[in-house]
Amino acid sequence: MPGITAERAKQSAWIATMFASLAGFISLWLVGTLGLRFPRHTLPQYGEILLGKTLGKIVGGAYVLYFLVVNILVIREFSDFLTITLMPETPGVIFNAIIVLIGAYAASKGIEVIARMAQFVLPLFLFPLVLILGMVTPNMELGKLQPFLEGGIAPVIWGSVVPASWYGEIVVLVILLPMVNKPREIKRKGALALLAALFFLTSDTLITLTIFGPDLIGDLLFPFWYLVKYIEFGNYVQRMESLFVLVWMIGIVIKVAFFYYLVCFTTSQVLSLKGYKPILYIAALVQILGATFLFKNTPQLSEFLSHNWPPFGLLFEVGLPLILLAVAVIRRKHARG
Amino acid sequence: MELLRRILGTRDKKSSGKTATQQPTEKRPLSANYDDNLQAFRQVFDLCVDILYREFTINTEYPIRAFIVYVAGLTDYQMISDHLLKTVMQENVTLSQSVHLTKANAQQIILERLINLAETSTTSDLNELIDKVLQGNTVLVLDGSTTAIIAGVRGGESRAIAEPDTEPGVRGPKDAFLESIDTNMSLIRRRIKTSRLKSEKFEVGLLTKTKLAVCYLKGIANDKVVQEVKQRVGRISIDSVLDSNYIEELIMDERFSIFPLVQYTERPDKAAASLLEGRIVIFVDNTPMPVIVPITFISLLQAAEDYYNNTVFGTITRLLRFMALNIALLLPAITVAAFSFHQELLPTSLISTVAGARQGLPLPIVLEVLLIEFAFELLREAGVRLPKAIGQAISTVGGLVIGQAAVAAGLVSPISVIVVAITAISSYAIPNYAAGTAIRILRFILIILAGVLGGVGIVSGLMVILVHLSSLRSFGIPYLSPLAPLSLKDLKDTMVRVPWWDMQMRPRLFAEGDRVRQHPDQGPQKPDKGGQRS
Repeated sequence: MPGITAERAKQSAWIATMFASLAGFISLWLVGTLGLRFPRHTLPQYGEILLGKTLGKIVGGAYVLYFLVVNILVIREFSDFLTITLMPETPGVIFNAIIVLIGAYAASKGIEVIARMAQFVLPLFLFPLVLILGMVTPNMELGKLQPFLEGGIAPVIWGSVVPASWYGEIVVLVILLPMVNKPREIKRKGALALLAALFFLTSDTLITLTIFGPDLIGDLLFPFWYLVKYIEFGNYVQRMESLFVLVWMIGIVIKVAFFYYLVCFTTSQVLSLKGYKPILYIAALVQILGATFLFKNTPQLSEFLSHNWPPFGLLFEVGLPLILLAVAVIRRKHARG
Repeated sequence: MELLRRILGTRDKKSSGKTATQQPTEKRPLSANYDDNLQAFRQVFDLCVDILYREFTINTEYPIRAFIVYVAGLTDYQMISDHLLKTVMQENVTLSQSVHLTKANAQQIILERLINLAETSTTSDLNELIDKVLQGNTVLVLDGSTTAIIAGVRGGESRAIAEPDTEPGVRGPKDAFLESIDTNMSLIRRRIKTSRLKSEKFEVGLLTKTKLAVCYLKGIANDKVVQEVKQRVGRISIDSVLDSNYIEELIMDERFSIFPLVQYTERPDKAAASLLEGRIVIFVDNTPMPVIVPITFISLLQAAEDYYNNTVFGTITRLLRFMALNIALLLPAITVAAFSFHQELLPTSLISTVAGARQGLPLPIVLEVLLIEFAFELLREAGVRLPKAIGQAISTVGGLVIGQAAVAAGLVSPISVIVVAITAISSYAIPNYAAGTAIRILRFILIILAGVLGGVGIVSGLMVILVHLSSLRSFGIPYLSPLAPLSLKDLKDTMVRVPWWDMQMRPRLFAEGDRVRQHPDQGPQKPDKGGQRS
C-alpha cells in the first residue's frame, strides 16, 4: 500500500485500490484477446507481424526495457526496505547482488521451475499473510473510514494510478501465453488471480487505514511493516516484523526470478537468438548496477515510484496492447496457420 | 559450470571410443578331442587355483573319458557328487541293458536319462562355457562330442534372511533382502503373485558381469518410464558394479545433485509396495538394497511402518518427521541468525538467560555452532567406521568431552550444545539415509550463511535449494510433486496417511492405466448398515 494513494484518496484509499484493479482486468482482456489471435506467438513475434519488422522489434525492445525497469525497481525497493528495517549496516549492493544472483539461477532453469517454485511457496506466503491480517483485526477502527468519499471521485481515481500499475503487471502474459497448456482458460484463470490480488490488496489497505488512519499512512514509508510490528498476541508472539520481512523476501525472489526470465527470454526473441542463456550474464550485471546506482536514496526511489513510473507502466500494460489489438483488428491479422 | 560440463562432455566422448559395452565375444567351438578341450580350459584358467577339474571315465563297453569344471565355493559339492558324478559314472544302475553308451550317443542319453538336475543346457561355444563356469555352474565335457553339458549346481555360502538392519520397524514383516538376486526376487514374488509382475534381466560390468533385473508391474507402471529405465540401464558401460550405487549414479537424471534421485530399501515389503504404486525396482546382484525409481522428495520421508500402524498415528508420525526435517536443516542456522542478528525475535526472558550464559565465551555463536557440529560429525563418522567394540568408547568419550567438559571449561555455551543435539536427533528421524546426508551438507552451508547475513542469508540459501529442488526430476517425475506441480488427489498419501479404505486410487504420479486400487465404500460402517455394502 503506497503512501501516495492514501495521501491523495485519504480514507477512501481502499476504494482506490479496488478501482485500480480495473487496469488489470482491461490489460488481461487485451492481452488475452491478442493472445488468442496469435496462440503460438509472443508479443515481439506478433508485434513484427502487425507492425512490420523494425517497428515490431522496437516494441519488443521496449517491453524488454519495461520488464527490466520493473525488476530493477522491485530489487531496489526491497533492498532499501531490508537496509531500513533489518540490516542498516549492510550496503544495499549486497542485497541487490544476492537477489539478482538467485533470480539468475532460477531464470537459467526456465519458466517451469519458476512456476513450480511459486506453487510451492504460495501456501507459505498466504498463510502468514492471512494470519497477520487476522491478528490485527481487533485493532481496527472502522470509524476511521468516514466520511465516505469525502473529496468526491476525483482523488480516488487520482490515487488509484499507482496500484493500477501493479495490477497491470498481468501484462506479462504477452510473453507467457504461448507457453500455457490451456490458453483458452487464461482469461478466467487470470481474472481469478486478479481477484485474489484485489482481495488481499484491498483488505490490506482497509486494515492499515482503519488502524493507522489516512493521515498517518501517508507519512509511513512501509505501512504494512508497521502493521506487523503492531501484532502482539500473548507475551510471546510479538515483534514478528523480521519474520515477515523474510517471508516477503521469498515472494520477492520469485518475482525477480520471473521478471529476470522475461527480460532474457524477450531479448532473445527480439534479437532472434536461439537461447536466452547468454543474456543471463549481461542482464545480471545491468540489474545489479541499475538497482544500485539508478537511485541515490529511498526518497528519490519512492518519488519515482509514485509519480514518474505509473504512466510509463500503464503505457506498457494497457496502452501498447490496446494499440496492437486495434492494429490487429483493423488489418484483420491472425496467426498464420 | 558450463566450462566444467564442456570438459566432462569431451572426456565422455573420448573414453566412449575405447570401452565397448560388451566384450567382443567370438564363438570358439569345442574340439572333438578330449585333451584339446581340457587343455583349452586349463589355458584360459591358467593360474586360477579356485577352478577345479575332475577327470573320470564312464566305464561302458567302450570307455568314454570325461571331465567336469567348476569353481570352488560357488557350487554345491553334494549336488555335483550325487546328481552329476554318481549318476553318470554308475550309468548301468539306471539304464537298461539294451542301451549302450557310445561316444556318439553318450551326451544325449546322459542329458535325457541320467542327470536328474532341474537346470541343464548344452552349448558348443567355449566362451559361453567359461562364462557359465564362472557363474557357478558345472560344465561336463565328454570325449568325442563337440558340445558340452552345463549343469546348474550353483550353491556355496550365503547368509540367511535376517531382520532389516537399516530400516527396522516395530510392526510389519521382518525379512530383509540379501545379496543374492534370486533370493531377493523370490521375496518379491512371494508377496506379489501375479504374472503381471515382470522382471527383465540385464548384465552389466565388463569384469564383474553383475546380474541386474528391472522389475515392474505391467499395466500399472508407466510404460514410458519402464522404457526409459531399460534404456538407461542398457546404456551402462562400466567395468564393475559392486553396489547398486554404481547403477544409481549412472542412471540419474542430474549429473550433480546432493539429493538422492533414486531410493534404496532393504525391506521387501517396501519394494513390493513401490511396485504396486507403479514404480520400478532394479535389483542388482550382490547388493542387499535394490534401487527404486522414480521417487519424489516427499517419498523419502515415508517409512513402511506408516502403513502398518493406526492411520492417525501414521499421519502424526509423518508430520513429526516433516518437522524433524525442518529442524535438522534449519535449527542451528536459525539459532545463529536469531542470536547474532535478530535478537528481537527472542522472548525477553530467554534472551537474558542466553546472554548471561554466553558471557565470557571466546567464540562468536556461528563459530561455536560450527565447531560443535563439526565435532559431532567427527564422532558420527568415527562411530560408523570403527569396530563395534571401540565405537562405544568413542561415544562415551565424545559425549563426555563435548557435552560436559567443553561447557564446563567455558569453551562453548550449553545452548549451542542443546541445539546441536536436537538437530542431530532430528536428522536421524529422517528415514532415508541419503536424504539425511543431503540435509547435513546443507545445514553447514545454511549455518555459514546465517552467520554472515542472518535471516536474509537463510532465506537466500533456502531459495537456492528450492530452485534446485524444483528443477530436479527423477525419471521425468518432478521431484517436488505432488506439492509442485500440485496434485490434490496424491496429497492423500504425502503429508497425511489416509486409512486404507480411502486409498482407492494408485498415485497418479507413477501409475498409469490400471489405477484403481480397491473397491470404493469399503470403509468401516455401522453394523446396521453393514449389509448394504455395494
